[in-house]
Amino acid sequence: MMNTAPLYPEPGNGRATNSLDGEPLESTSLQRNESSQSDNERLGFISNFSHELRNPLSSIVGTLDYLLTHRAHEVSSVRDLLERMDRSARHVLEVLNTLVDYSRLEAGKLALRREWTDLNVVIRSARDIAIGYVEKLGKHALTIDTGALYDLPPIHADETKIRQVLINILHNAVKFTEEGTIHLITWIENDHVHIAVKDNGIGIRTRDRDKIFKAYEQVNPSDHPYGAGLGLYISKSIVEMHGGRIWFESEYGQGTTFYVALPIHTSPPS
Amino acid sequence: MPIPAAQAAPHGQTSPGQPAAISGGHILIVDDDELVGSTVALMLETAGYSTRVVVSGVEALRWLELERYDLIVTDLCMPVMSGWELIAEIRSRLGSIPVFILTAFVDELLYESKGRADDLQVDEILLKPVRLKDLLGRLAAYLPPQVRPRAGP
Repeated sequence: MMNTAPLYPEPGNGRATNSLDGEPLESTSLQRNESSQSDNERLGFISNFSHELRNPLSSIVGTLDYLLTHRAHEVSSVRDLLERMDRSARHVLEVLNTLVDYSRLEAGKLALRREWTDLNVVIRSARDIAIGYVEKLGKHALTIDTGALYDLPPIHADETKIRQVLINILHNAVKFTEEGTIHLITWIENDHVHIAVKDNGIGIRTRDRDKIFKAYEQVNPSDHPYGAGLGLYISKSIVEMHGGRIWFESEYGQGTTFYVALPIHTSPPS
Repeated sequence: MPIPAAQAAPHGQTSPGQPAAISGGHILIVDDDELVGSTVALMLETAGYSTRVVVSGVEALRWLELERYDLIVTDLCMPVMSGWELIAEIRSRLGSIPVFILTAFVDELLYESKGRADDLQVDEILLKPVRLKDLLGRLAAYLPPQVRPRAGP
Protein backbone atom coordinates (compact mmCIF):
# COMPACT_ATOMS: atom_id res chain seq x y z
CA MET A 1 0.00 0.00 0.00
CA MET A 2 1.31 3.41 -0.87
CA ASN A 3 1.78 5.79 1.96
CA THR A 4 0.06 9.01 1.01
CA ALA A 5 2.07 11.01 3.51
CA PRO A 6 4.14 13.79 2.01
CA LEU A 7 7.70 12.86 1.20
CA TYR A 8 9.01 15.44 3.60
CA PRO A 9 6.61 15.58 6.50
CA GLU A 10 6.81 18.83 8.35
CA PRO A 11 6.74 19.25 12.09
CA GLY A 12 3.34 20.10 13.46
CA ASN A 13 3.54 20.35 17.21
CA GLY A 14 2.47 23.97 17.18
CA ARG A 15 5.74 25.33 18.45
CA ALA A 16 8.14 24.51 15.72
CA THR A 17 8.55 26.78 12.79
CA ASN A 18 10.20 26.01 9.55
CA SER A 19 13.26 27.98 10.31
CA LEU A 20 14.22 28.76 6.74
CA ASP A 21 11.21 30.97 6.17
CA GLY A 22 10.03 31.46 9.73
CA GLU A 23 6.44 30.53 8.87
CA PRO A 24 4.54 28.43 11.38
CA LEU A 25 3.90 24.99 9.97
CA GLU A 26 0.52 23.42 9.40
CA SER A 27 -0.27 20.27 11.30
CA THR A 28 0.03 17.20 9.17
CA SER A 29 -2.07 14.18 9.91
CA LEU A 30 0.34 11.37 9.37
CA GLN A 31 -1.23 8.04 10.03
CA ARG A 32 1.87 6.25 11.03
CA ASN A 33 0.28 3.07 12.28
CA GLU A 34 -1.29 2.38 8.91
CA SER A 35 2.02 2.50 7.11
CA SER A 36 3.61 -0.77 6.25
CA GLN A 37 6.99 -1.65 7.66
CA SER A 38 8.76 -0.75 4.43
CA ASP A 39 7.02 2.62 4.30
CA ASN A 40 8.23 3.29 7.81
CA GLU A 41 11.70 2.20 6.82
CA ARG A 42 11.63 4.50 3.85
CA LEU A 43 10.35 7.38 5.94
CA GLY A 44 13.07 6.74 8.50
CA PHE A 45 15.61 6.63 5.71
CA ILE A 46 14.45 9.96 4.29
CA SER A 47 14.40 11.50 7.77
CA ASN A 48 17.93 10.30 8.33
CA PHE A 49 19.08 11.90 5.11
CA SER A 50 17.23 15.06 5.97
CA HIS A 51 19.00 15.05 9.32
CA GLU A 52 22.38 14.46 7.71
CA LEU A 53 21.84 17.40 5.36
CA ARG A 54 20.41 19.80 7.91
CA ASN A 55 23.57 19.80 10.03
CA PRO A 56 26.03 21.06 7.42
CA LEU A 57 23.31 23.28 6.01
CA SER A 58 22.89 24.91 9.40
CA SER A 59 26.59 25.81 9.43
CA ILE A 60 26.27 27.35 5.99
CA VAL A 61 23.07 29.27 6.72
CA GLY A 62 24.27 30.42 10.15
CA THR A 63 27.58 31.64 8.81
CA LEU A 64 25.85 33.40 5.93
CA ASP A 65 23.47 35.14 8.34
CA TYR A 66 26.41 36.21 10.43
CA LEU A 67 28.14 37.68 7.40
CA LEU A 68 24.94 39.36 6.21
CA THR A 69 24.45 41.20 9.50
CA HIS A 70 27.91 42.65 9.46
CA ARG A 71 29.50 45.24 7.28
CA ALA A 72 32.57 44.04 5.45
CA HIS A 73 35.03 45.95 7.62
CA GLU A 74 33.51 44.55 10.82
CA VAL A 75 34.38 40.95 10.00
CA SER A 76 37.98 40.16 10.79
CA SER A 77 38.05 36.54 9.69
CA VAL A 78 36.21 36.37 6.40
CA ARG A 79 38.54 33.67 5.12
CA ASP A 80 37.81 31.42 8.15
CA LEU A 81 34.10 31.93 7.68
CA LEU A 82 34.30 31.05 4.00
CA GLU A 83 36.31 27.94 4.82
CA ARG A 84 33.63 26.87 7.30
CA MET A 85 31.03 27.15 4.58
CA ASP A 86 33.28 25.33 2.14
CA ARG A 87 33.72 22.39 4.54
CA SER A 88 30.00 22.26 5.15
CA ALA A 89 29.20 22.41 1.45
CA ARG A 90 31.56 19.47 0.87
CA HIS A 91 29.77 17.60 3.60
CA VAL A 92 26.42 18.20 1.87
CA LEU A 93 27.93 16.84 -1.32
CA GLU A 94 29.21 13.72 0.45
CA VAL A 95 25.77 12.99 1.84
CA LEU A 96 24.24 13.42 -1.60
CA ASN A 97 26.87 11.14 -3.17
CA THR A 98 26.02 8.45 -0.64
CA LEU A 99 22.38 8.75 -1.59
CA VAL A 100 23.21 8.45 -5.28
CA ASP A 101 25.47 5.43 -4.67
CA TYR A 102 22.73 3.80 -2.67
CA SER A 103 20.10 4.28 -5.35
CA ARG A 104 22.50 3.00 -8.04
CA LEU A 105 23.29 0.00 -5.89
CA GLU A 106 19.61 -0.78 -5.40
CA ALA A 107 19.07 -0.54 -9.15
CA GLY A 108 22.07 -2.79 -9.79
CA LYS A 109 23.78 0.05 -11.59
CA LEU A 110 26.65 0.90 -9.32
CA ALA A 111 29.66 0.59 -11.61
CA LEU A 112 33.32 0.42 -10.68
CA ARG A 113 35.91 2.49 -12.51
CA ARG A 114 38.93 0.33 -11.99
CA GLU A 115 42.46 1.44 -12.60
CA TRP A 116 45.84 0.60 -11.14
CA THR A 117 45.69 2.12 -7.71
CA ASP A 118 48.38 2.89 -5.18
CA LEU A 119 46.70 1.76 -1.98
CA ASN A 120 49.36 3.43 0.14
CA VAL A 121 48.23 6.81 -1.18
CA VAL A 122 44.55 5.92 -0.74
CA ILE A 123 45.10 4.83 2.85
CA ARG A 124 47.03 7.97 3.72
CA SER A 125 44.39 10.26 2.28
CA ALA A 126 41.61 8.36 4.07
CA ARG A 127 43.58 8.68 7.29
CA ASP A 128 44.01 12.43 6.78
CA ILE A 129 40.29 12.87 6.25
CA ALA A 130 39.58 10.82 9.37
CA ILE A 131 42.00 12.98 11.36
CA GLY A 132 40.05 16.00 10.15
CA TYR A 133 36.90 14.31 11.41
CA VAL A 134 38.46 13.74 14.84
CA GLU A 135 39.24 17.47 14.97
CA LYS A 136 35.75 18.37 13.80
CA LEU A 137 34.23 16.33 16.63
CA GLY A 138 36.63 17.95 19.07
CA LYS A 139 37.90 14.61 20.37
CA HIS A 140 41.21 15.88 21.68
CA ALA A 141 42.12 12.62 23.44
CA LEU A 142 41.67 10.45 20.35
CA THR A 143 44.47 9.73 17.89
CA ILE A 144 44.77 7.70 14.71
CA ASP A 145 47.94 5.64 14.52
CA THR A 146 49.19 4.38 11.16
CA GLY A 147 52.55 3.28 12.48
CA ALA A 148 52.39 -0.26 11.12
CA LEU A 149 51.70 0.44 7.45
CA TYR A 150 53.05 -2.18 5.08
CA ASP A 151 54.25 -1.05 1.66
CA LEU A 152 51.37 -2.38 -0.43
CA PRO A 153 51.52 -3.32 -4.11
CA PRO A 154 49.18 -1.63 -6.57
CA ILE A 155 45.80 -3.27 -7.07
CA HIS A 156 43.28 -2.90 -9.85
CA ALA A 157 40.48 -1.07 -8.13
CA ASP A 158 38.12 1.88 -8.09
CA GLU A 159 40.26 4.29 -6.14
CA THR A 160 37.46 6.67 -5.13
CA LYS A 161 35.22 3.89 -3.90
CA ILE A 162 37.94 2.09 -1.95
CA ARG A 163 38.84 5.39 -0.31
CA GLN A 164 35.17 5.85 0.52
CA VAL A 165 35.10 2.41 2.20
CA LEU A 166 38.17 3.21 4.29
CA ILE A 167 36.86 6.64 5.26
CA ASN A 168 33.59 5.05 6.27
CA ILE A 169 35.24 2.48 8.51
CA LEU A 170 37.55 5.08 10.03
CA HIS A 171 34.67 7.51 10.61
CA ASN A 172 32.70 4.83 12.41
CA ALA A 173 35.69 4.12 14.61
CA VAL A 174 36.01 7.85 15.37
CA LYS A 175 32.29 8.26 16.04
CA PHE A 176 32.14 5.47 18.56
CA THR A 177 35.46 5.95 20.34
CA GLU A 178 35.76 8.78 22.84
CA GLU A 179 39.46 8.58 23.60
CA GLY A 180 42.46 6.40 23.00
CA THR A 181 44.00 5.28 19.72
CA ILE A 182 42.56 3.97 16.50
CA HIS A 183 45.11 1.72 14.85
CA LEU A 184 45.23 1.39 11.09
CA ILE A 185 47.22 -1.70 10.14
CA THR A 186 47.96 -3.27 6.76
CA TRP A 187 49.52 -6.56 5.69
CA ILE A 188 49.52 -9.14 2.91
CA GLU A 189 48.18 -12.64 3.38
CA ASN A 190 47.00 -15.28 0.87
CA ASP A 191 47.37 -12.95 -2.12
CA HIS A 192 45.15 -10.41 -0.46
CA VAL A 193 45.89 -6.96 0.85
CA HIS A 194 44.51 -6.71 4.36
CA ILE A 195 43.55 -3.48 6.03
CA ALA A 196 42.43 -3.43 9.65
CA VAL A 197 41.00 -0.54 11.65
CA LYS A 198 41.08 -1.32 15.34
CA ASP A 199 39.46 0.93 17.93
CA ASN A 200 39.02 0.77 21.69
CA GLY A 201 35.56 2.30 21.54
CA ILE A 202 32.20 1.15 22.79
CA GLY A 203 32.08 -2.05 20.72
CA ILE A 204 29.08 -3.84 19.25
CA ARG A 205 26.59 -5.86 21.28
CA THR A 206 26.16 -9.49 20.24
CA ARG A 207 22.50 -8.92 19.48
CA ASP A 208 23.39 -6.07 17.07
CA ARG A 209 25.94 -7.99 15.01
CA ASP A 210 23.56 -9.04 12.28
CA LYS A 211 22.48 -5.45 11.70
CA ILE A 212 25.90 -4.02 10.99
CA PHE A 213 25.97 -4.46 7.22
CA LYS A 214 22.26 -3.97 6.61
CA ALA A 215 20.78 -0.92 4.92
CA TYR A 216 18.85 1.48 7.19
CA GLU A 217 19.98 -0.33 10.31
CA GLN A 218 21.66 1.67 13.01
CA VAL A 219 23.41 0.40 16.05
CA ASN A 220 23.76 3.21 18.46
CA PRO A 221 24.53 3.56 22.13
CA SER A 222 22.27 6.55 22.56
CA ASP A 223 18.62 6.39 21.66
CA HIS A 224 18.79 8.30 18.40
CA PRO A 225 19.80 7.48 14.86
CA TYR A 226 23.22 8.69 13.91
CA GLY A 227 24.07 8.98 10.27
CA ALA A 228 22.02 7.64 7.41
CA GLY A 229 22.63 3.99 8.20
CA LEU A 230 23.98 3.20 4.76
CA GLY A 231 27.74 3.51 5.06
CA LEU A 232 28.63 -0.08 5.84
CA TYR A 233 25.95 -1.47 3.57
CA ILE A 234 27.45 0.41 0.64
CA SER A 235 30.99 -0.41 1.79
CA LYS A 236 30.26 -4.13 1.86
CA SER A 237 28.85 -4.01 -1.67
CA ILE A 238 31.86 -2.09 -2.95
CA VAL A 239 34.36 -4.49 -1.38
CA GLU A 240 32.50 -7.53 -2.71
CA MET A 241 32.32 -6.02 -6.20
CA HIS A 242 36.12 -5.95 -6.02
CA GLY A 243 36.17 -9.65 -5.18
CA GLY A 244 37.11 -8.84 -1.60
CA ARG A 245 35.71 -9.37 1.85
CA ILE A 246 34.80 -7.11 4.77
CA TRP A 247 34.14 -8.30 8.33
CA PHE A 248 34.58 -7.30 11.93
CA GLU A 249 35.39 -8.56 15.37
CA SER A 250 34.04 -6.79 18.40
CA GLU A 251 33.65 -7.07 22.10
CA TYR A 252 31.09 -4.82 23.70
CA GLY A 253 32.76 -2.24 25.89
CA GLN A 254 36.22 -3.17 24.58
CA GLY A 255 36.31 -2.07 20.98
CA THR A 256 35.85 -3.13 17.40
CA THR A 257 38.17 -4.12 14.56
CA PHE A 258 37.01 -3.91 10.97
CA TYR A 259 38.90 -5.84 8.31
CA VAL A 260 38.97 -5.38 4.56
CA ALA A 261 40.70 -7.94 2.33
CA LEU A 262 41.18 -7.14 -1.36
CA PRO A 263 42.69 -9.56 -3.91
CA ILE A 264 46.04 -8.43 -5.28
CA HIS A 265 45.96 -10.40 -8.50
CA THR A 266 42.85 -9.11 -10.10
CA SER A 267 43.43 -8.60 -13.76
CA PRO A 268 41.51 -5.92 -15.62
CA PRO A 269 38.24 -7.32 -16.97
CA SER A 270 38.66 -8.10 -20.66
CA MET B 1 5.44 26.25 30.58
CA PRO B 2 5.46 29.64 28.89
CA ILE B 3 5.60 29.47 25.13
CA PRO B 4 6.61 32.86 23.85
CA ALA B 5 5.51 33.77 20.39
CA ALA B 6 8.54 34.16 18.20
CA GLN B 7 6.95 36.92 16.17
CA ALA B 8 6.14 39.05 19.21
CA ALA B 9 9.54 38.68 20.75
CA PRO B 10 11.78 41.71 20.58
CA HIS B 11 14.33 41.55 17.88
CA GLY B 12 17.76 40.59 19.10
CA GLN B 13 19.76 41.78 16.18
CA THR B 14 22.04 44.65 16.91
CA SER B 15 23.54 47.31 14.81
CA PRO B 16 26.96 48.74 15.49
CA GLY B 17 25.58 52.07 16.67
CA GLN B 18 23.53 50.65 19.53
CA PRO B 19 24.66 51.26 23.10
CA ALA B 20 26.04 48.49 25.27
CA ALA B 21 23.40 46.67 27.32
CA ILE B 22 23.68 45.14 30.76
CA SER B 23 26.13 42.30 31.22
CA GLY B 24 25.11 38.66 31.56
CA GLY B 25 23.73 36.29 28.98
CA HIS B 26 26.16 33.39 29.09
CA ILE B 27 24.98 30.48 26.94
CA LEU B 28 26.14 26.86 26.82
CA ILE B 29 25.94 25.28 23.35
CA VAL B 30 26.05 21.49 23.03
CA ASP B 31 26.42 19.90 19.61
CA ASP B 32 28.51 16.89 18.62
CA ASP B 33 29.27 18.62 15.32
CA GLU B 34 31.77 21.25 16.41
CA LEU B 35 31.19 23.24 13.24
CA VAL B 36 27.48 23.53 13.98
CA GLY B 37 28.09 24.46 17.62
CA SER B 38 30.63 27.13 16.78
CA THR B 39 28.33 28.54 14.09
CA VAL B 40 25.56 28.92 16.68
CA ALA B 41 28.11 30.67 18.88
CA LEU B 42 28.92 33.08 16.03
CA MET B 43 25.23 33.82 15.60
CA LEU B 44 24.70 34.47 19.32
CA GLU B 45 27.75 36.69 19.38
CA THR B 46 25.87 39.00 17.02
CA ALA B 47 23.56 39.93 19.89
CA GLY B 48 26.41 40.11 22.34
CA TYR B 49 25.77 36.90 24.24
CA SER B 50 28.84 35.10 25.47
CA THR B 51 29.08 31.38 24.74
CA ARG B 52 30.75 28.11 25.58
CA VAL B 53 30.71 25.43 22.88
CA VAL B 54 31.03 21.76 23.85
CA VAL B 55 30.73 18.61 21.73
CA SER B 56 29.18 16.11 24.15
CA GLY B 57 26.74 15.81 27.01
CA VAL B 58 29.53 14.61 29.26
CA GLU B 59 31.58 17.71 28.52
CA ALA B 60 28.49 19.89 29.04
CA LEU B 61 27.96 18.47 32.52
CA ARG B 62 31.60 19.11 33.34
CA TRP B 63 31.32 22.77 32.29
CA LEU B 64 28.04 23.18 34.16
CA GLU B 65 29.97 22.53 37.35
CA LEU B 66 32.59 25.13 36.48
CA GLU B 67 30.55 28.00 35.06
CA ARG B 68 27.17 29.61 35.54
CA TYR B 69 24.98 29.76 32.43
CA ASP B 70 21.80 31.69 31.77
CA LEU B 71 20.57 29.35 29.05
CA ILE B 72 21.47 26.08 27.36
CA VAL B 73 21.10 25.22 23.67
CA THR B 74 21.50 21.51 22.93
CA ASP B 75 21.38 19.15 20.00
CA LEU B 76 19.41 15.91 20.48
CA CYS B 77 21.19 13.38 18.35
CA MET B 78 24.59 12.81 19.88
CA PRO B 79 26.53 9.62 20.51
CA VAL B 80 26.95 8.21 24.03
CA MET B 81 24.68 10.73 25.79
CA SER B 82 21.69 12.00 23.83
CA GLY B 83 20.30 15.50 24.23
CA TRP B 84 17.30 14.08 26.09
CA GLU B 85 19.56 12.38 28.62
CA LEU B 86 21.53 15.58 29.02
CA ILE B 87 18.38 17.66 29.59
CA ALA B 88 17.11 15.19 32.20
CA GLU B 89 20.45 15.52 33.97
CA ILE B 90 20.35 19.32 33.72
CA ARG B 91 16.84 19.40 35.18
CA SER B 92 17.88 17.29 38.14
CA ARG B 93 20.98 19.38 38.79
CA LEU B 94 19.94 22.90 37.88
CA GLY B 95 16.17 22.95 38.04
CA SER B 96 14.49 25.47 35.80
CA ILE B 97 17.29 26.99 33.67
CA PRO B 98 15.95 27.76 30.16
CA VAL B 99 16.79 24.94 27.75
CA PHE B 100 16.46 25.15 23.97
CA ILE B 101 16.65 22.14 21.70
CA LEU B 102 18.26 22.75 18.32
CA THR B 103 17.77 19.62 16.26
CA ALA B 104 18.10 18.48 12.66
CA PHE B 105 15.61 15.74 13.28
CA VAL B 106 12.19 16.55 11.85
CA ASP B 107 10.84 13.26 13.15
CA GLU B 108 11.55 14.36 16.68
CA LEU B 109 9.13 17.20 16.28
CA LEU B 110 6.58 15.06 14.53
CA TYR B 111 6.08 12.05 16.64
CA GLU B 112 7.62 12.00 20.01
CA SER B 113 9.30 15.13 21.09
CA LYS B 114 6.36 17.17 22.29
CA GLY B 115 5.44 14.92 25.18
CA ARG B 116 9.04 14.31 26.04
CA ALA B 117 9.91 18.00 25.78
CA ASP B 118 6.95 18.88 28.00
CA ASP B 119 7.99 16.32 30.58
CA LEU B 120 11.48 17.79 30.66
CA GLN B 121 10.17 21.37 30.56
CA VAL B 122 12.08 22.19 27.41
CA ASP B 123 11.49 25.86 26.66
CA GLU B 124 11.91 25.96 22.89
CA ILE B 125 12.49 23.52 20.05
CA LEU B 126 14.22 24.91 16.97
CA LEU B 127 14.80 23.08 13.73
CA LYS B 128 18.14 23.20 11.92
CA PRO B 129 19.04 25.17 9.94
CA VAL B 130 17.87 28.01 12.16
CA ARG B 131 17.99 31.55 10.83
CA LEU B 132 19.63 34.25 12.85
CA LYS B 133 16.49 36.32 13.37
CA ASP B 134 14.49 33.30 14.55
CA LEU B 135 17.19 32.20 16.94
CA LEU B 136 17.66 35.66 18.41
CA GLY B 137 13.92 36.28 18.43
CA ARG B 138 13.25 33.21 20.54
CA LEU B 139 16.21 33.94 22.81
CA ALA B 140 15.19 37.51 23.46
CA ALA B 141 12.09 36.28 25.30
CA TYR B 142 14.37 34.65 27.87
CA LEU B 143 17.49 36.77 27.87
CA PRO B 144 17.75 40.43 26.91
CA PRO B 145 20.12 40.86 23.95
CA GLN B 146 23.55 41.80 25.18
CA VAL B 147 25.06 44.38 22.96
CA ARG B 148 28.76 44.43 23.27
CA PRO B 149 30.67 47.69 23.20
CA ARG B 150 32.24 48.27 19.84
CA ALA B 151 35.75 46.97 19.74
CA GLY B 152 38.43 49.09 18.13
CA PRO B 153 38.02 52.18 15.97
